[in-house]
Amino acid sequence: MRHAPAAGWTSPLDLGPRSAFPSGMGASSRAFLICLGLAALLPACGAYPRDIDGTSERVRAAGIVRVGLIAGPATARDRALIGAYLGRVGRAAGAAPRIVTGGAEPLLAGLEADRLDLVLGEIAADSPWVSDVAVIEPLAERVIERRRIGLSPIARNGENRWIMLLEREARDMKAGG
Amino acid sequence: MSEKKGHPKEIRADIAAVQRLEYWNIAWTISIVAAMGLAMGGSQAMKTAWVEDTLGLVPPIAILVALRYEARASNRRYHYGFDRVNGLGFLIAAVALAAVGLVLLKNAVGTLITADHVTIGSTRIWGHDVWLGWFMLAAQAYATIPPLIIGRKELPLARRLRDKLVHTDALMNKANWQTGVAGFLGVAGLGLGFWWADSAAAALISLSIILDGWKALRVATSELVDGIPCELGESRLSDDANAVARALRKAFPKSRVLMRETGRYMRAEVVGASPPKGFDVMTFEIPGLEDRWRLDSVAFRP
Repeated sequence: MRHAPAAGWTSPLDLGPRSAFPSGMGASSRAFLICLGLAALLPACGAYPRDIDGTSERVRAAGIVRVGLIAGPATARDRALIGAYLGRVGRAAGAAPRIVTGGAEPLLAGLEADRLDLVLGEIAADSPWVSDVAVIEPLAERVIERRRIGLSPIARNGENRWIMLLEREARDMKAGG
Repeated sequence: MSEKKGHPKEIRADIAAVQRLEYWNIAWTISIVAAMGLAMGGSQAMKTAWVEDTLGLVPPIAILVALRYEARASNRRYHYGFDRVNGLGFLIAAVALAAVGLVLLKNAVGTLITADHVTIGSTRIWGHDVWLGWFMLAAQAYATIPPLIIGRKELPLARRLRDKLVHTDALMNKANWQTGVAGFLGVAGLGLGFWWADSAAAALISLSIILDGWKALRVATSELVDGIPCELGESRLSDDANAVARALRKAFPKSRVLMRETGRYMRAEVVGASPPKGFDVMTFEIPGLEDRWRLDSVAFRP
């Protein structure tokens, strides 16, 4: 015996434009439901969020994290801190750090040009680089002439999965985890 | 009506309903602005949508201010009352809307041209690192609900009150779900690794802001330059005005009938005729005119 469809709904076989939604539902309600549906599906896409330039996948595939260490007093003073952080990042990413040392400008330019995956060093909170790269919360901080300078991991903008990993490791280390 | 204190009794209940609705509109919009502001982070689409939502406060405030002024009686300085206050407020809002839209469009297109990548980081909540994009998506989803409900409630009131300001706000609210969806898809696309998704969404939202501004500008300027009484959202003579013009032409066949709109009211002028003795605009027979309160006055220029 065939049953009539419930009031307000069209048959799923009806290929009309409103076939999947109640007939009284407006375009806005449908759009809203589509949004919610999409949001629910996003975690099913595997790695979400993804990196725009695929840093996480590339690091894992190559087994190497290309690190630029900004030369300066902090590099010597906080050597243990930097070593511990790079160790954590390497374990989390499944890769070994390959470190180059240099001045802040060439290293940050190298980061932007995808020659490095991570730069570590002191950067001021109001540095002009702050909008061009993703400066992660500092591992250590000092104030010079009322200017906050953090020893921070720095990543390329838009590498959101990779940035999340760097943030997580920085937080865990600060929390003593 | 314009030279008397208060609104015509036929529309007082609807005026009160609009006032209540606009207070709700303001409260909901503030909640959206707060939610979007807290969640927007570095997303261009979120920032643009936030600006649009903030600008969304202007029409309900303009409506409430205009209704308050409109109810005032004429005085020694303003002989015709304050029917046009909403037009003035709307003109200012429309110019601001269009200008902000253009600036945001320039930013979004600039970001697309320079191919800037947007960073959305994470925050730690109860020991868990949560991507800030999830908060953005939730805020965007929330931002689509109030405009959807308020826009639908405004439309019938705007039609009954012949209120262009409320009607335009209803259309803006109705269009806002598109903004919400565009912003949502922009952030979701960014999370999928599409660098252009966020800026492209921001550009779309900017276009929507410019369109809102353009629509509002047309409505405001049409009234300020003494345009004919139009159907809501259309540029043709309204049926009410047509009925008045027809009745006046029939009563004064050798004359020319001019019509203009001041706020929600119509004023007619009969050129080339003198008023007959005892002519009363309230009792003059006008077949087809449903809302008599709309006709404010008929003037004669012999």
